Amino acid sequence: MLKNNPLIKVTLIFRLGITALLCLSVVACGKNNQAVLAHKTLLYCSEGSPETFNPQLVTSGTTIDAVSQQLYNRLVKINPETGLVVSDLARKVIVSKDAMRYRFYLRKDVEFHSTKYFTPTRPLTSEDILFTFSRILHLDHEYNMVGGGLYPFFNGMGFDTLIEQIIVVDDLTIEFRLSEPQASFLANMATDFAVILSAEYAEQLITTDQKELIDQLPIGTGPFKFNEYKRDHYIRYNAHKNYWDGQPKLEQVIYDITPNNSNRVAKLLTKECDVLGYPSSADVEFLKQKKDIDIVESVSMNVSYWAFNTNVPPFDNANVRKALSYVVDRQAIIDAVYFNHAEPASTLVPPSSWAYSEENTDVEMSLEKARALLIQEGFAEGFEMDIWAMPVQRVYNPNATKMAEILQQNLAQVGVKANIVSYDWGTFRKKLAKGEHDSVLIGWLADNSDPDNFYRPLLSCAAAFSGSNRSAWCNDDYDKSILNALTTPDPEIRKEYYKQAEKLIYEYSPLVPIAHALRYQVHRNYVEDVEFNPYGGIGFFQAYKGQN
Amino acid sequence: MLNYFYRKLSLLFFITFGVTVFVFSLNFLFPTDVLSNMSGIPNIGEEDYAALAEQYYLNNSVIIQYFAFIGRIWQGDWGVSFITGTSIYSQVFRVLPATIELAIYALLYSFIVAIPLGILASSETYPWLDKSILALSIIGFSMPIFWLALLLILVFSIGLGWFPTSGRLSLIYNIPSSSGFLLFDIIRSNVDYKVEAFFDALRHLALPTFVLAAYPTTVLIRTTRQSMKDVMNTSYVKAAKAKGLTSGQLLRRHGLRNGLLPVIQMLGMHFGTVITLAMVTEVIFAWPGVGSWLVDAIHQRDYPAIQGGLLVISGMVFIATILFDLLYMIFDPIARIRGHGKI
Amino acid sequence: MVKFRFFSSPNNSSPFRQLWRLFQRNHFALVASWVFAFMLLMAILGPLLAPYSPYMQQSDMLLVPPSWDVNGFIQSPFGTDALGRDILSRILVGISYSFGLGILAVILALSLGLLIGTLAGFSKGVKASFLNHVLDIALTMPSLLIAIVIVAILGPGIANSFWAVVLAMLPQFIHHIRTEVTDMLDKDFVIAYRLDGANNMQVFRFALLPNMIENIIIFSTMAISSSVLDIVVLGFIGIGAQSPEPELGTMIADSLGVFYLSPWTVMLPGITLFLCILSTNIVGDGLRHALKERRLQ
Repeated sequence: MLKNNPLIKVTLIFRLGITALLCLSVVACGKNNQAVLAHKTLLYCSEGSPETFNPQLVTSGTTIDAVSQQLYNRLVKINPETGLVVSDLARKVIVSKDAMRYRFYLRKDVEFHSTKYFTPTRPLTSEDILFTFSRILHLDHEYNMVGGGLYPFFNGMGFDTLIEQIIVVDDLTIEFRLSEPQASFLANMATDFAVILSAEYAEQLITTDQKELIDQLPIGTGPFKFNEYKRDHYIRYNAHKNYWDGQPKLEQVIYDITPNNSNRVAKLLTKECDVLGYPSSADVEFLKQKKDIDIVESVSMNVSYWAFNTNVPPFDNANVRKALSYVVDRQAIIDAVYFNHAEPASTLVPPSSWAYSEENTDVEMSLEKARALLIQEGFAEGFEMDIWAMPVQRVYNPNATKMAEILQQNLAQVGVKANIVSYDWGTFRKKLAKGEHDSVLIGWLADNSDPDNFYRPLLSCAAAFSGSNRSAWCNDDYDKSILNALTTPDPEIRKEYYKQAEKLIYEYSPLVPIAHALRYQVHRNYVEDVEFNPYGGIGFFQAYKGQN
Repeated sequence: MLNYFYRKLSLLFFITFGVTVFVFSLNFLFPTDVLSNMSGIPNIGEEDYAALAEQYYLNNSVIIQYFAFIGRIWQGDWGVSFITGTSIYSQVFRVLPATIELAIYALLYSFIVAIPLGILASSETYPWLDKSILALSIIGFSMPIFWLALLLILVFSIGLGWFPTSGRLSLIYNIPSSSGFLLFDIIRSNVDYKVEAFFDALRHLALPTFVLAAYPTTVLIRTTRQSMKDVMNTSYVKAAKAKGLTSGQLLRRHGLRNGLLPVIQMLGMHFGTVITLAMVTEVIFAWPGVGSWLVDAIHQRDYPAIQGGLLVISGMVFIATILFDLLYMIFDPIARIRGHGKI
Repeated sequence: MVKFRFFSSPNNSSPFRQLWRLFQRNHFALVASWVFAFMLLMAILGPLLAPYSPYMQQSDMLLVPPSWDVNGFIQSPFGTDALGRDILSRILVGISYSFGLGILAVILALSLGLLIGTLAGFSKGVKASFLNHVLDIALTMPSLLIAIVIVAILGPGIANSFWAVVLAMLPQFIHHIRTEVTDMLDKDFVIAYRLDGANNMQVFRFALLPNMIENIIIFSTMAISSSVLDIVVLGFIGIGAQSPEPELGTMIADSLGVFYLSPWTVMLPGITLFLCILSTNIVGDGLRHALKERRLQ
């Protein structure tokens, strides 16, 4: 009777089914790890979609990370370890004595990408360099208006007035003539924005009347070439087999676009991503406990600061500003806001910059000094002020509101009542530009390694008018120092000038530097040699997957 | 028989009419301008307005507007999205196969699991089995689907690392899309990593399928159990038993065929719920189907897209319901007589 | 199964009492009914009992684990979420949002359904047939899908999702009540009552309602679980209650960002929700069984 019981048969079949299913999934797990393609593919979970595939058109870090180092090369580049300018497409640069003429000697046989939509017939020549920069310089250039006609980085550095002429000397030599000496010129040419495009591709697009494609279906000389892009989903790059610096070790690099922080971390944990950009501070602590995940900590060229609006009393009084600067408890902020993932800042430039000098580092928290200064200036009973806290997370400041709350507490002890103010990001920036604030907690992420990128945009008189100087502070001595520093080629002398500038900041306290945040990159432990740039940007040229 | 088909046909007609009238009326119900809703162009300038209004028969009576609307639906002119500006029709039918695929696998899975369990539970030999299966099914029935999904992700993806958390296929594999049904596409493609891609797709299917199957499985277990109990208590089964048929024979000859009839009916009735739950599942597992697409559209207030999505989903639910009904009729002659005006 | 009783004693207690006695025999159902009653109490009193405001953020107490954990604090028994809000308070208020509103939605849909369904049950001819067809369409659409459609029209928000759920359930109630009414109108006792000279109102009040009430209660109990589920799912996919509101589904969606860091932020609201729905379902099931058994007697 039992043998014929249909129920038992059913259970048996059912059990067999379950076993088969389990086996299938186990096989699948096993197979997947050994798969050749999977081994040669790197998945990077990025935080957002790029706006374009031409970094000249943007300032956003997301686009730079996704595009610059993968698809393109620059004339020169910055060595991420030393911070010095080294050769890239130009094998050699010769600078004239007056620092007004830069002659670039290009590498031979640099191949452009060959893709479904473009097949190059010639290697890189001076023509391509001329095309790239003419597009930015000349308003009447055929491509100038393609993609909007705005080149924010180049406009910001005054590229159009700086460059007097670009001269093609021969096929592999090109010369830039400047209108005035500028020490940061090479550093600017080495940024991720100054990428070289293909003139031949541009001509092809003119004949087919599809000029706008130059920024959408990109052609460059970089280690990877464009394959496919689905907005908000992924970008697929293939290896550029004829890359001048050798073939990349990976076959494919895929950007898995995952805006949600926790989804990115979850994907890293399930090996759906190999490398992860911008983990939040809380996630870093969590990921540190995982043994098969490596965390690379790197300094980043950034600073977060507290700027006082020097047009508004009582902040027009340098001693009041100085007094308030004594209130800042950097260590408490670094513990609570950065979860220890930052170092206290005493100067604008971080210690990793060559312009950093240790003499200006005697910042301290001292409520007595603050109180004494306030009494001396007639504020014995204190006053009321606003602290504007930016509403968004940035590398340099993960939580401005929390930072403001800590300041608020300390300020209360010297009799200053602080109100924390915040708007949505768009309104915030608009009101800030109008100068409606008393003081603001904000920060800066440098675009390049040159210290000028900190001193000029943040505190110069020109920036006070254009708006990036949140203190609206204008000091002739300061402007003179940073201008001198900019027109001097010798780094040692430049450093002296920056030291003076730093002294002035310390003396007048238009802003209080608070912290230099560290930047994190997280990857599975089998991923090796991802290049990680302190000025933003990530490179996969040398990267490969080892055994896990 | 003919009468039956006639009745179903008239019902189908009525339903089509109802659904299209409803979707058409959405044009007027959504807060944005009627013409914007129809054409998908967010801010229409004064100069274009007259021409567009002419094109969409806005100056004519509502009846004519409705028929113009039907005409556009029929031709595949479903307007463009407010957000991306691309054709809704092509977008919807690009994402639809992913949803159908997920729903079919989930139903198949629940069929395979639930029917044996239901039969087991109906047996009076093992009352404890009945109790535990029933308890399991009521727990599954009460578990909010998204919470179940999170628990599974926590245990199987993040804890054990067995299954991925999102998508249909690892981005590593680049499978050209022809039918939109991924497993078919993989088999038909001629890439050299077919096997890996196929297993990877299965791994991606595992968790969403299981999560989505939870609800139909619990419903099916209960239905199967009840109807098997009913069938086994009928006099014809008792007569057959008295004649000396073994329980296996009983099950094959009488039990299954008659006991599974209500199951088919149940499947039809719950297909709509499964599609709705598939939408939630898609949102959690970032499954690129019509559900997550529609939810995105609702978030972005992309009204033309919401319309298109609703049209397709409700159309699919109705067609499936009628198909299941036909299937039921084929198996159960009595159903052809009764059930007037009932789906 | 015993189909007839050799010896049966006359049972004189009221039908409701009989039902309750049969229901009590099922211990699971009894426990579930206690849980259900407790949750109902919380739905009413929860906002008063909450130790903190569900919106209050304590920036120095982020992601504090529950008090049974080594790192937990006694002042936040269920810990805090990513913004330092007390999870216990949020859950207490959340029960009244999700569970309370779910029950309220059922009560509302039931009253409307009773009105329309009865009227429809009394009517005949073209009107009835038209209603039939409309109901057929509405019933094929799952309630959650209808709710999503309505929210798409009204826009997100807890109030809108409440109305959406009410409207989405309405066809089921109308259909159910209408069928009951039409079935019952053909019964002899109703005809007899009519012959006594009762008008429609009296028929409804004294003949129909007392006979339908049990079925309606059971149907409504089952409807509660689906209405609660609809509300939380809408909240979870982000088109129902919006972020700071302590609705359980929204809370879970909010905490997804930290759920591998601090699983309790997802687990505790989830367990609460699960208990609400599970107890409702078991009570509904138990009532149905009890009713079936009583009718067998």
